[in-house]
Amino acid sequence: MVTKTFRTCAGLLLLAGLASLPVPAAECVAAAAYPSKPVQIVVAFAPGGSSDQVSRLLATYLSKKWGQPVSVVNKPGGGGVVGTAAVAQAPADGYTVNNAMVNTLAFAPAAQSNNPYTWDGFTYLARVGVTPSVLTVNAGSPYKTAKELVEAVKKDPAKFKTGVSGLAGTGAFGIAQILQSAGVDPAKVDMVSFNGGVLVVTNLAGGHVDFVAQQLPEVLEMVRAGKLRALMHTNPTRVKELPDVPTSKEAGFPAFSVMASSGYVGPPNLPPAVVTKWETAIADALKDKEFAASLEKMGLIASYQNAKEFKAWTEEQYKSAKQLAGSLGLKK
Amino acid sequence: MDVLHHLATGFSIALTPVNIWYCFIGAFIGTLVGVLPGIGATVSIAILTPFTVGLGPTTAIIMLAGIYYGAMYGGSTTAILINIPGEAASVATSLDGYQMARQGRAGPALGMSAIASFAAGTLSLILLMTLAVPLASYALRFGPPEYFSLMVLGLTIVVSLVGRSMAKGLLAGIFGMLLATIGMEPLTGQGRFTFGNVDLMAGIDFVAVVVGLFAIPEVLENMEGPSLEVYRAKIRNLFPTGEDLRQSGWAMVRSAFVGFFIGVLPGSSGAVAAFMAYNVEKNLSATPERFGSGAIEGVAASEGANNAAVSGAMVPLLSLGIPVSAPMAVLIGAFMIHGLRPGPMLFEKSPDFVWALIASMYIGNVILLVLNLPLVGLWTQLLRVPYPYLAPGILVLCLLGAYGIRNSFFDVGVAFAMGLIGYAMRKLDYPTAPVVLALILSPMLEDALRQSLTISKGRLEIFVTRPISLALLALAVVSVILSLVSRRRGVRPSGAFGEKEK
Amino acid sequence: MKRADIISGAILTGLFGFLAYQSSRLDMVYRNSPGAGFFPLCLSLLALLAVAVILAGSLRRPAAADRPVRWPRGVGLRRIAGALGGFLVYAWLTTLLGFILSTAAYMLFTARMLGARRWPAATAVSVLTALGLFLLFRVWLKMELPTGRLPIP
Repeated sequence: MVTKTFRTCAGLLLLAGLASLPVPAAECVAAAAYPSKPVQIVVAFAPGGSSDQVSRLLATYLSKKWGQPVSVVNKPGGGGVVGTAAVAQAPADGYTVNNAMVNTLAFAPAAQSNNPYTWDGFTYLARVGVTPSVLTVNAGSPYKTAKELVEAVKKDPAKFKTGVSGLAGTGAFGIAQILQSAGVDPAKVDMVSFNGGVLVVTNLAGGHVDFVAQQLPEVLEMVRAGKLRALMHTNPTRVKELPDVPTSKEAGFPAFSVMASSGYVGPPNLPPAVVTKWETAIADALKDKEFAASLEKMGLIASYQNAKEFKAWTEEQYKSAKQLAGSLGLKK
Repeated sequence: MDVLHHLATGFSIALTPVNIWYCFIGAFIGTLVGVLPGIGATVSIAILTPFTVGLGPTTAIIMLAGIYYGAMYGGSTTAILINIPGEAASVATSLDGYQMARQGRAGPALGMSAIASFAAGTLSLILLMTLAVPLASYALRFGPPEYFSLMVLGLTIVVSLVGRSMAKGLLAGIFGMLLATIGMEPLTGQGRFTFGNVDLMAGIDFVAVVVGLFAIPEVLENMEGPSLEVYRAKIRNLFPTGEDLRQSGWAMVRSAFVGFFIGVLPGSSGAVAAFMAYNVEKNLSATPERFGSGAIEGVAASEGANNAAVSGAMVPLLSLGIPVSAPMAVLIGAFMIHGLRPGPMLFEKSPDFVWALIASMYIGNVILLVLNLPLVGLWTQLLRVPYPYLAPGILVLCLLGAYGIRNSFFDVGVAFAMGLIGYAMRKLDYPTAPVVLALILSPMLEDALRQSLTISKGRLEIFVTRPISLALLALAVVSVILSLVSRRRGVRPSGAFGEKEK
Repeated sequence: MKRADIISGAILTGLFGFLAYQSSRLDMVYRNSPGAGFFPLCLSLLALLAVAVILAGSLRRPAAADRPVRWPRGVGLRRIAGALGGFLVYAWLTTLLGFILSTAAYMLFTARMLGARRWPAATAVSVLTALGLFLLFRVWLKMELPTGRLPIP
């Protein structure tokens, strides 16, 4: 009986050995007509977040358009670094791409020691949209405008606490941009870090921190309900959700410009045909009424950039983040 | 009276055939994904949301919410039968539930978890209706110092989970806290114990640890003996007896309150609620030594609390738009896709929707009870599968559960390593439950500690000058004292070895 | 238990000592709050303390009060080794043969090792379990499963 068991096993191992031989045929086809097999979008965050939602929406759209299944695979952990790193090392055939947020793409390499990839270690495909950051205070706060708030912080920075979600995120960088441009050392204001934007906003509403610069969808409903007050945001033009809130330029803080973004990148050296395919697909998706409407419901402002523009924009973000990281006490 | 009027409207919407049908589908899917390790409520809600676009918003959310609380019902099943908690919230259930299964009382354990889920679930819905608005501000008053003290209170439960040796039990808890520090430090992103490995940067996932520490050692230990009769005792009655119900009656009520109030707090979870309720019952029990070796109140408390926590989590969701837990965050995503903006204005702007959802949760709880009680017989039959098949089947589920976390074999490796560690821990008399408890609580504790000290500029007084925080710390002291007292009482009469029979 | 405690104590001392050293190299303070290394360092030191207490306890314990650790031996040890070794091979096989084939093979191997007598029954159960799990997890619940290099999943 025992020998028989082991004979079966030996047979299986042999089969396994055969299966592990390289399959050259399959890899040649890849270039012919992309996509010729299922495509995976790696989302470096847990299901339900903005990155996941946009990708699932796009996956449905692309599956229909390309006639190949496009699926979403969640690889959460390490603030998005883990899933992003996995894509950086994936085979350069265009069948594994990543929904890239500005946090994972530009901020983590700029600010964190031992980050496993660099900002330019990817093939850029296209940007889908952005989410502006909003400088927000509790509705009970005495400060009605950004100017008043910053003046008060300038006078006595030690009196203020701000809420962020990690130091290498849009929230912390946004605050650093405001403070630096007003000549306040960001290190003088206490930064209380929470696990996720939701908790930052909750603690602002509870009065445990004094001001935050979180993303628009996170604060929108509380602002509308009069629990929080928005002072300015980073979108270049006014947003229709909060028409009375000035842009950062109008409020006199043009340096406050950080925005979360959602776009797609792949491993380095993707064939140009793949890049073109994605550029047109995403541009088309944004023209699709249904897709655009769903995007808006998620709180993402459609803002297309082709591969080249997206890369250039990310480089800008990276450089700015690198300069800010030092002021936040992050060493690189 | 206003509440009753609203509720009547809610029921009139929720009781339409189409809404009942989708409520049933949600509850059914929830039970299924709760039973299966490796796929939880969060993932299934996220995956199914796009498919609900064709439904009306109320119907869609009724179904998706059904998945959430349905998963809480289902999560206890594998925890009781084969010691694999399908969800974090069921870890406390497995402590006594699995021992009951080994004694041939899987039926009563499963039946009790359905009944307790129903009772506490329904009771907590009443709390939700009456307290949603005032409680919203209570949730906001919980700042970092309050969370810190709450986590300290949670960690004191370790004392009641230690086995024969206090030092070994505490060491197990510390080990769990150290496991939790692996990965990127959340503030600065510095790597801790990562050794340049990308997978380690993501940290150790709790599912892999639970599968490894609970399920794998159990299978291994069962293989040791010459006979493979694991569930030796004959399967006795399928349903809880009158005596069982009497024993668990108050546990259900108390767990509804504990679960609900913990559930309201953003960042806490069903797991915390379940452990807290379990600990309350153990400390109040006249026979605390029965806990850990098949006390049915333990099952009732844990299962009741994790269902009540779902109702609690609805408070900040509906009244503030704040998701308390991961499945809630996904649910908020679904709200937005259906054009509903969860937030302080939801109650005012879409009262019909809110009350229909609450009414549907009453209906869903009934559906789940009706669905689950007949299933008890089916599940217990699973234990009749000959062990030579059951054992590899369990191990395959372990692989799937660990792999499913982020589709990587790294987590399978973690589960395997934890399996070996867990096996050694059992042999050397180290309890494994404190590891899991500490792993769940420790990240929140560290976050809250740092946040509090940032706010107070490094002064520790902040924890005692704020009343809620001080009260929680006092509770923590009481909890430790009660645990120590009940430990003394428990150890003495039955001698040092009065633990579970082998 | 005494010997086992002493040996495991030595191993744990090494482990937690290493962790304490590692965490001591991280930042202890960030502004006025604890830094990355503070929490792990405290925990490692506490762990070392607990290990010391355990060691002292077992050294002081009289031999009569000591219960020996029942390590598996004979057939039990062989089964455990088989199940664990098989599990590792199984995990590796899924990346080559896909989920269904390797699961069926692992079920069959382990069931036979644990004493399932008849080949046809064992094979049927194993294949059906593998297919059933595939249907449930992949087809209905759309979970990602390990994929192999063969055309079958």
